[in-house]
Amino acid sequence: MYTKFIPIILLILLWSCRPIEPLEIVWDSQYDSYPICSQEMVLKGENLEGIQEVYLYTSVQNSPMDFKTENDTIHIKSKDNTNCFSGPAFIIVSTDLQKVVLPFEIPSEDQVLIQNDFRTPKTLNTDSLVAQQSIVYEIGTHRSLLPQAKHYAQETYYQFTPKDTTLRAREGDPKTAFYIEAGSVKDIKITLINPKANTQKYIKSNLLQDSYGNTIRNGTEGKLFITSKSGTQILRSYSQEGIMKFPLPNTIALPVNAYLEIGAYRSKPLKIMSL
Amino acid sequence: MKFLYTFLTSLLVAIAVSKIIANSEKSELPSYIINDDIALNHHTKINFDIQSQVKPSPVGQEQLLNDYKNIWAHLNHLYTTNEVSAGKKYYTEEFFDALCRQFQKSPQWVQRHDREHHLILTHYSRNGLLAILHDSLVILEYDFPNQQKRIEKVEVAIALIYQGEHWRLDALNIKPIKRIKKL
Repeated sequence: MYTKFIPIILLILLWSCRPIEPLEIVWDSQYDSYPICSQEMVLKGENLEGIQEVYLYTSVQNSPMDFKTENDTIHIKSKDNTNCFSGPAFIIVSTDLQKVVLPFEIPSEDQVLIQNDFRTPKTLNTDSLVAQQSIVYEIGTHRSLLPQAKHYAQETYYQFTPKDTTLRAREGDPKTAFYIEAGSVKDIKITLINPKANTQKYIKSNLLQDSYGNTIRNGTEGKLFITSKSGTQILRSYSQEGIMKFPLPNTIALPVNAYLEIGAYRSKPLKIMSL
Repeated sequence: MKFLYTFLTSLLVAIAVSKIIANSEKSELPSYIINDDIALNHHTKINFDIQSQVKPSPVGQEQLLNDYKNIWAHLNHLYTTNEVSAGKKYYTEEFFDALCRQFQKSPQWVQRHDREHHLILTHYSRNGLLAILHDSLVILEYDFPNQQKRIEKVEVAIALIYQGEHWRLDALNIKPIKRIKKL
């Protein structure tokens, strides 16, 4: 009864054992150079019916491609979010049983998206050379490091005039700001301010400046040492607009010697006999 | 009444346990605790030369080279798998953002190995936070489906920024040394 099915089964077996038709795909002859990653690419080939997936492998990531087959042609296009990283690239066309690899090259970008100007140090001080290192490098749309005249970055050393100021590596970009600050105080003088009776007496500094005439930064700390027979008392104060003021305590036992110390520098002693 | 009390208590315990489990799945350990197996299992050969005016200390050189190797380990892993987050501690925020534009799962058809590097440090910032490197000859080996293999010689330029205890990739440029033949 079943013998009549044997030829049919044999036929099915024979059909399933037929050789796989090789997938043959090449770039379309329109390309003198390489296809452009972000634009539609055209491939030519035979036996294209079974194509299931097409992938682009850039030098960093891989990505599925949209594709459409028409007779002996495949039109492929990268998706909007594909990163076209420069370097060796491959298109891989896949069927159930076969994969065809098509190598090509994605050239370096030439469109500058970001220019990074890396400055060191960010804060300069007039005590030192006021010299700054700048390394500039440029980045393209797909995070490509773009070539410069020599190498892939440009290194420059800038020498600034020792003037207290805020500058910017790139105009209009506050993130690139750097600072030249006043250095150590050159000349410290103190005087006793002794207004009318029964009012607060205090010691005041001169206008505190560095060697180049820059007023020291607000908030610079100074210590006033007051020495009498009974010992030494230290008062602290912070500069405001280059001036320091030290209110004198009423308990002070005269006579005293006082001097002001800022960093490694100090004033000449001031002798106070009476208030 | 007793039954209702038992039921409500069990319900509250079940909710609390499920919350704890859900939170523990979301939490991520700090990167210094996690073993970086991708970097540990990566081996390559690097010849290193310094041409920059400012030179890193010997300890600084060692860290730069180690991180450079690890960056390649993660770039190869990314190449095959598209897993952008595996090497995120080796990318700057901007580079990571660019990678995250494309994160579809990969069929993992191709594996890449970096066999050899000839690395030159061309620029190094005085504060040790920026390095520009030129890898003048990198030998890349590709394993394609159906046991096909291919070797490419490329040159690579790379900008690294030191952030959060690692050198991180900020930008790179890969260029074949010989023009690739179209098939």
